Amino acid sequence: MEINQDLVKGNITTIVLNALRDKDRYGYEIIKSLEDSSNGILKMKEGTLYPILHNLEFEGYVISTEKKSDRGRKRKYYKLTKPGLKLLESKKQQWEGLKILIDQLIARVSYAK
Amino acid sequence: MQNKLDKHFKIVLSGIWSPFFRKRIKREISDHLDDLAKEKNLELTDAVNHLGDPEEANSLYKKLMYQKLKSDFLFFGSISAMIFTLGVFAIHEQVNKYTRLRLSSYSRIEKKYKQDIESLNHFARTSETRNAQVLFQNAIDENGRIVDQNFLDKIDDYDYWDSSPTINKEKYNYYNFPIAHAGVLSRLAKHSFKNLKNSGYSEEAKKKHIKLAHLIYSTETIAGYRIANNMIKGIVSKVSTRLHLYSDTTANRTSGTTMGLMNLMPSIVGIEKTYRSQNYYVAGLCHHALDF
Repeated sequence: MEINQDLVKGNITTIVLNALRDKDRYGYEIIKSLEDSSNGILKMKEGTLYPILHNLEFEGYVISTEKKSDRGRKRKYYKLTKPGLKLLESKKQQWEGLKILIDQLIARVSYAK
Repeated sequence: MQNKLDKHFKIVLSGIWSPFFRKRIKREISDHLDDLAKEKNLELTDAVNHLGDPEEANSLYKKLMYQKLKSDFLFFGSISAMIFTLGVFAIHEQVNKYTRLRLSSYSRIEKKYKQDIESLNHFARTSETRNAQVLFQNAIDENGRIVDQNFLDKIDDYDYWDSSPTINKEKYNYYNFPIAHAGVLSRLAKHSFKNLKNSGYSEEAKKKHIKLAHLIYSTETIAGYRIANNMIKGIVSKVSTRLHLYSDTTANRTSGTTMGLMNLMPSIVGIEKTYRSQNYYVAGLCHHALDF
């Protein structure tokens, strides 16, 4: 299934925040986890992810720490902060609301036809 | 591969002038590339091809950099503006203080006489201090109250710049009065001024006393202080024999006085500031007293 990336872009912050909800991850791991969770549909590129992570870090929604990975290399891990978690919850609610609204609007259009 | 990667970096980093930001981006991309190559079992050459659109990344990074710059500018800008304003106020206040207290004249005088003073022998001030204490002990009790109504008359009995121990201690009562405090001196000076007005001094003598105080007050100049010193000699001329006896020590006395004044400059500035609103005599006496 092809997904218009522009539709995803509007919610990309929510998606990234959600990827950090359960565990701290490094950049590539986030991309991979999103790809896996979306069955390969969402292929985020590093050029999109890192500026988002920078921004979230700048706003205080995530913090980054350097840790050694399993392979022994130092990596920058991103962790969700409390404000980040709050933001995620609020964005999720917004999404739920939007989803209902869009569903309703689409349904109306179908009836009109 | 290096060429491809360099080209990628060149586009991504174009317009990113913050060295820290550039370093961070470079490191992130390099780490990502490394992960990508290992995860997908690719050669780094091929992994570069899997990187995203560099133009898009560049535009996002630039947006982020300017956003951060704006926020930093607001933060550091406000702090700098605050420090600058406070600095201007502080300098203004210092200049005001400097002008108000005429500190420039002190430093000018200090500079002018420094060499001269340093070339002269230091004057032993122990006797002065003791004599001064005798003087005040007879005027003030241990609680700082004025007990001697004829304090001013007694001034003439002393030459408290005299370095020799000639005071007849038997003549006076002693109190355990350590150092003349500014508040006590002020009260004493006011009282003395009142006494001076009501004293039996001739108008000319009164004028001399006031002139003396005035001169001392105006001895923000050492020259003035020297004149004042000479004035004292004139005032106490009725004990001219003493003056005659110690005339050979005049140079030393003057230098000691000057040196004392030099050392006391900060206190004098302080007392002057405190008693600015008082009349010249009070301030002058305080000056004098501080010299002890």
